[in-house]
Amino acid sequence: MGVDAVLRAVAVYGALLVILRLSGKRTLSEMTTFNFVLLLIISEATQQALLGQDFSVTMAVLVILTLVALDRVSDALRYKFPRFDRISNSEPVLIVNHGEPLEEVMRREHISVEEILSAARETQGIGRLDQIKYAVLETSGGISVVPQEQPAEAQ
Amino acid sequence: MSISEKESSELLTRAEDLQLDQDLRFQRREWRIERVAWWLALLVIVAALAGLFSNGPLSNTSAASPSGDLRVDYQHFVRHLGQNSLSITVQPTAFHDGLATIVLDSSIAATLQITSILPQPQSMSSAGGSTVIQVATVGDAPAQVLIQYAAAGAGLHTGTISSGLDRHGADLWEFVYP
Repeated sequence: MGVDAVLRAVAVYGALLVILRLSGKRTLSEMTTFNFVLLLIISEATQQALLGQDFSVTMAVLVILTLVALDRVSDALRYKFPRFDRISNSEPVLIVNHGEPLEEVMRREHISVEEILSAARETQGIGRLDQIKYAVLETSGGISVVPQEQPAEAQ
Repeated sequence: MSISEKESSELLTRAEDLQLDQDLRFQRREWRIERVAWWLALLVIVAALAGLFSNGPLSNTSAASPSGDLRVDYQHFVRHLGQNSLSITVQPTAFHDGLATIVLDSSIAATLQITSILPQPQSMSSAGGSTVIQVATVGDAPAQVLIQYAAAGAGLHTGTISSGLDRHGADLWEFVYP
């Protein structure tokens, strides 16, 4: 049963890593109410595969231990091998440069100007695209905004 | 598209006072792989609807013995320890003393963890690894037996179900997903 617990955890960890990585940066990045519920459903579906019919404390501890260990190992691998970091985590990508939205990136990542403006309002309190110096889509899926050094006067 | 790629490449190189470790070639490859992955995911979902992972036109099947006295309706694709059922119909020509006999050969018997048999068999016995099930019959009506089971052991399993130890049976194959 011990082998079973470890193998199940490894399989589920790997499957989740591949699915979430390939679905793109933006998946589940915004915690809207719907995304939150979706996350709960995904964990519910995962739980069955992780534990099977065995609801013992031993099984739960073994699975948790394996998952935590896998996470530490992949962190260590990411630190040691930047290539692995890039493959498993992607990399940040510029989406606005000096007020100019980069159309290709936005199209590929399905980001609208609205979403960038929303991030600018929330994090920087600025209201116009030309007040944004840089906006970056982070690997977490969030949008970070660097404002122009001298904010333009209001029209 | 090539124009916007060129434009965005130029814009990206002008971000000189932003320390951003970004490789547009890698990024574009990533988008391509993502695109392929989305289509693959769609393909998996369609395959699931079609029954590649149990319950669907691809999975539902039936097998009959050469003499036609026994037919098995079952699923090609099942999942490890998932609840499945197979339905066995025995024709009156195979009845003996008011009993219908069903023989699961050793390889099938080993992979089926039987949870219930309907109707309740008169007897269940073992003959050299094979499981012999006998069900009471009424007159000349074909006997229909429903076996509910959990499939044990991932992989491809083949076996035979027959209406008697000395008879040719229906050959079936079943793939068990882990």
